[in-house]
Amino acid sequence: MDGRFELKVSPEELSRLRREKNLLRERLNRIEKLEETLRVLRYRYLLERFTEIEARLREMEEHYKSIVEFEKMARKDKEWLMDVRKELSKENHELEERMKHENSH
Amino acid sequence: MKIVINSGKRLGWKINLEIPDEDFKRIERMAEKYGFRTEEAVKILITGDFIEDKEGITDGRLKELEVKMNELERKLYELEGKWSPLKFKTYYLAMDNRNICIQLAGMIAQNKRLREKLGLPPRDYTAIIEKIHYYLNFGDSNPEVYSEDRKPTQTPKASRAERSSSRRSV
Repeated sequence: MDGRFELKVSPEELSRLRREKNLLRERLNRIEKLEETLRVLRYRYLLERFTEIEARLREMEEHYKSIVEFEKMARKDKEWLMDVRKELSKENHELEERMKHENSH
Repeated sequence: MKIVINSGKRLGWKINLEIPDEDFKRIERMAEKYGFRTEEAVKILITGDFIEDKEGITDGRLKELEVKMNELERKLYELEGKWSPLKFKTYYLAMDNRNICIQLAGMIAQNKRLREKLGLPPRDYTAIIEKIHYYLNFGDSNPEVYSEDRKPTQTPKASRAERSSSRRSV
């Protein structure tokens, strides 16, 4: 910073500022008002962000809960399906043996 | 400090303003404190686009909100950290079940055929077939649930409900 600060604005904003040129000097003294504005803007930003995160968290919690339930069900299903497979395999084997036996007679 | 306002055009109009260095430093500190760039703060000051505080917002209230927000963010990251491994674990579990179901479909067909040939009464496969329908439809009806995208979309619960409406013969 060499004692000069450059501020770029849009051409429309520049025209407006040129029209209001005699007010600018007075505005530069309203630093308290600027602080109030920045504080309000920061508060609005934080509130908006807070609401967003809160909604996202609620959504995630719901989704997480459903995955936990699903995992529980899938684990139980796996055990059951493996038992059924074992039992059906045994039965099919026995039936095949019976078929062979019947065919040989 | 000299403030030069321009619109970026080389030959365009410019406005030059003088502001005491002390005031400018104060603006810089203020902008940093509330998370703004100095340019943004200076622009508000010069354009006079001030906002009146009608809610009595204090730095204390800001701090309080920030603390609450950080706590919420921490919870969210924590949950996301737990959610990701569980999502993959569950996906592979469902895929295991799907593979067992494919084997079971073949075994049921074999069992039906053998029973018929031996003149035995047919067996009730309803419960198994229900699971087969569910797990064979799993990947097709829920591609979004386990996609790389972390956005929660369709839940496994919903796919379960779908199961009854999308019966498919084994």
